[in-house]
Amino acid sequence: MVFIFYAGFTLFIIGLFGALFFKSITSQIISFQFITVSSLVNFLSFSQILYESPTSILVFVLLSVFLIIIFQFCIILYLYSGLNEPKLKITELEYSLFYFGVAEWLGEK
Amino acid sequence: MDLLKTISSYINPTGIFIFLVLGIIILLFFGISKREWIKLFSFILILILFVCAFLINIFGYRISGDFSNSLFTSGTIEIFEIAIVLFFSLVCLCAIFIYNKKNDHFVKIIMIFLFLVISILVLIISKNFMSFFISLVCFLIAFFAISTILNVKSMSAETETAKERKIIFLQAGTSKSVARFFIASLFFTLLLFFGFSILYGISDVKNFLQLYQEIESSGINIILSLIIISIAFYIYLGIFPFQAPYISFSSKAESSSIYLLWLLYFPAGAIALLKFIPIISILNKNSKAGSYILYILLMTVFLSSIGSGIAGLKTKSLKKTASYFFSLIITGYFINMVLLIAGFIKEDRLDWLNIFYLLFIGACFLPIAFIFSHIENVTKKDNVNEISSLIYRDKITGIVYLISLLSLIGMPGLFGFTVKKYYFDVIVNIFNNGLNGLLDIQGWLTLIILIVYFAAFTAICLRLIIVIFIKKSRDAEADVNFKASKAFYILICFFAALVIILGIIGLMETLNPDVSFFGIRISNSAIFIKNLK
Repeated sequence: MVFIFYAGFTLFIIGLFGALFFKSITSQIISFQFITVSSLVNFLSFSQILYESPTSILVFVLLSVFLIIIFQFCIILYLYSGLNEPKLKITELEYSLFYFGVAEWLGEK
Repeated sequence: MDLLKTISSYINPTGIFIFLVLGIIILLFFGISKREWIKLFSFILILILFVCAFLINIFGYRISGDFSNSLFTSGTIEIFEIAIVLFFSLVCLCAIFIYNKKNDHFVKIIMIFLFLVISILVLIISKNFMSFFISLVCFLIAFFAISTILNVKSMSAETETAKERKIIFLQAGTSKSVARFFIASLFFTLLLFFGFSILYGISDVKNFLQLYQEIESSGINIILSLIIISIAFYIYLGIFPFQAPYISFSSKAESSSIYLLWLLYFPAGAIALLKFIPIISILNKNSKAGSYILYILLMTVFLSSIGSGIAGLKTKSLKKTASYFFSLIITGYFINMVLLIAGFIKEDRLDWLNIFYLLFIGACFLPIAFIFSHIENVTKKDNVNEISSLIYRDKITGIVYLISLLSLIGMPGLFGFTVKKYYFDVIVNIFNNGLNGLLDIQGWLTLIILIVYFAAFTAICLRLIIVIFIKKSRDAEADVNFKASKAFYILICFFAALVIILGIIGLMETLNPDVSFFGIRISNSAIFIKNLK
């Protein structure tokens, strides 16, 4: 039980660092998959070991993962479809997700 | 007769959703139309449906009373929240119509907008984790869809002006800002999902009420899941130092999507966050856990006040000033939580304070946002200096602007004072305790951070007030005419009247004079809620 929790948490930490420090959107999306997998490991292992796999939590997990994947898919589609400019195809952000320079913060940029 | 009784028992909260879904079904028949009269028809139809939904929300509650099942709950608090969100939706609908009536995809935008409103309403009444999480993700997907459509300039007609706008749009890097903002939202969703997975492991809870009952047995282990959920909301609400995606989006996106951001995205986040209040109340019984939560909340308020306050004072961009200012207003929800944890208010008072705060945003901040949008539209520049000498150039707009800002500061006689008097009372109480030597380090810290917050808030308001009194050169004044349409003046005057009327009611409740009409003491607003029940 503790091993499963630690394994899930390790996946979460990998995903967290990837999401925070990568500039490439592809890498960020892959990091998000790590967080999703770690959540799934937690949900499914807890439901199997602690609560004898109730149906309600499986419905919750299925619906949630379905919607999260749709959300990711929408973002990827928006980035690669080039709706604003056909050649744009953004694959990399200028900085990491939460980078905030002093000049930008103070509104000088 | 029995059928009528059965129907009326379901009218709260299903009535509202029937109207909104009806709107989507009717618009399905006109989805691909580009005719002008169809656009006008869609706008008027949805406007009427929103008004009907607003009325059925109140009367449905009067007829069928409270509603609760395993997934949803709808009581007095939810009714007020739904009413305010419907009012905000009405404003957003008007903004979408004003800025996008030439857009070929107007009907589709309205359909997605209706889906967005339905999602936020489901979020308000949700009690179960499943309904809560799914409605929140649906809301984010709908918000993503509508923001991207509103910000795709290539979709509108290929006129010279459209081409010019498209170039400006590409130079601004709007696509990257939109992408960055929604990647941050996706990150929030995943953190929340992970937080729920730990919460589920600690105690087999599936709804917020159960959480309230079972959390005591799970003890301090709950802290880990709470930390992850709070970081998720910290990112969602764009509080310093995580404000980069929000500021970048709000400074580059098109006007109507900014209204959606302020009036639907942030209230949705605040409402979702407040669903976790029972956990905080229970944890507060443990003095050690309570003091940790208080320190975390105080740190949040402090960072937001300093980060948004300094940036709001320093920036020259009109959009950024408004965004930082709004970020400071949203921090008010954290102050409400601080007051709860520190024991200055009880949980029922917190619910009403939060509703008051939503109204405060609507009545006081909205006119300023309208005026900023109008000035930006007229001058085509995003600079604070463009509002200088506003009071001399357009008296009506200037006076409404002044009333709204004075109300935000908390001047007696205006609506802002009705809300802020609770905070002022608390500050005075803490200070008195400090003078009498009854204050510990936690109390002093609360006092200092509350003062820092209100100082930052007032400083931005004063900056915005002073700017409109600075005189511009006559040549610069002659260049731009600030005169707006009659509809604009009616709208901003309506908000100014609302601020004054609600302010006078609030002042009467404070002074408590013995004035009554038709046997009802007008200084007692609680009578309204009593009659509603």
